[in-house]
Amino acid sequence: MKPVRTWRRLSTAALTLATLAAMLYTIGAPTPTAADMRIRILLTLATLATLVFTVGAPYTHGG
Amino acid sequence: MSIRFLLLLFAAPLIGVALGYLLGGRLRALRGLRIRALWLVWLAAGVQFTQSVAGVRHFVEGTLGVPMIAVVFAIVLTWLGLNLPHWPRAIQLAGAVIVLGAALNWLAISLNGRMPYDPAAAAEAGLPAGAETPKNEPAHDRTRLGLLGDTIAVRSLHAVISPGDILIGAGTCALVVFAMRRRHDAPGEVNHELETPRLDAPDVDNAASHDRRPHDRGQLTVH
Repeated sequence: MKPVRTWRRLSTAALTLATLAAMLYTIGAPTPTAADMRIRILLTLATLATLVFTVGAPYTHGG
Repeated sequence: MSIRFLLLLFAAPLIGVALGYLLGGRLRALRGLRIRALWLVWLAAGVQFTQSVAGVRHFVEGTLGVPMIAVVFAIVLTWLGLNLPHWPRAIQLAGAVIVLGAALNWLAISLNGRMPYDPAAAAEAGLPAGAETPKNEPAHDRTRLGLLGDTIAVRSLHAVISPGDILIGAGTCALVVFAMRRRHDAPGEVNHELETPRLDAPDVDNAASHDRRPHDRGQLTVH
């Protein structure tokens, strides 16, 4: 495995974890800011899409 | 996971957003919809995702004897059970439609082992008609309740969906619309604006309008 690829993968994983941590942190924020609200809206829509993924069963070969 | 599959997942919430705007709703109303135990949804998605890993599926279903689909549905229904009672009535109805759709899918999967799909509908959607996936298999003579399987071809997304999927999509869409259209002081939401007094409130100086004591206070009641 090339070092550049490893670095890219590690940085992508770190960015993903940081985003998720920020999302989870803002859920319980007592005085949410405008950015928190946008994240909450996106999180709500993402949750609903995840719900469709979990209980939906469409046939999409390779999906 | 293909782009078309992602479109299929996000189609219902995005159509809901568009309809919500058309019906006078606002996206910002979604911010107050309180979602409890969000981690359960991600857990269900994780279990769902690991179904495609043959080793994990074989271990859980073969060795432990637990159907993974039952685990997924149990987690999702637990999450809905935790959230639905706290949401407004209209959103509860939308949630009930999602539960009904999920139950229909679960019934078809549990009776057949995997979700059966109609090979003719698959061919119509441009998909391989005889292929098996971790979640789907072609319907045959011994398929039970085949009508609840994937029988509806969606050519634009190269997918075949079930009646349960339609109910889940419709429920999700309705949930977004109802959430966007509800009032800010509706129950089941976190309203952080309540701490700010309304300066334009009618009768703000009328002390009688603030009196919430019963009208028969201080009176003896004769039965």
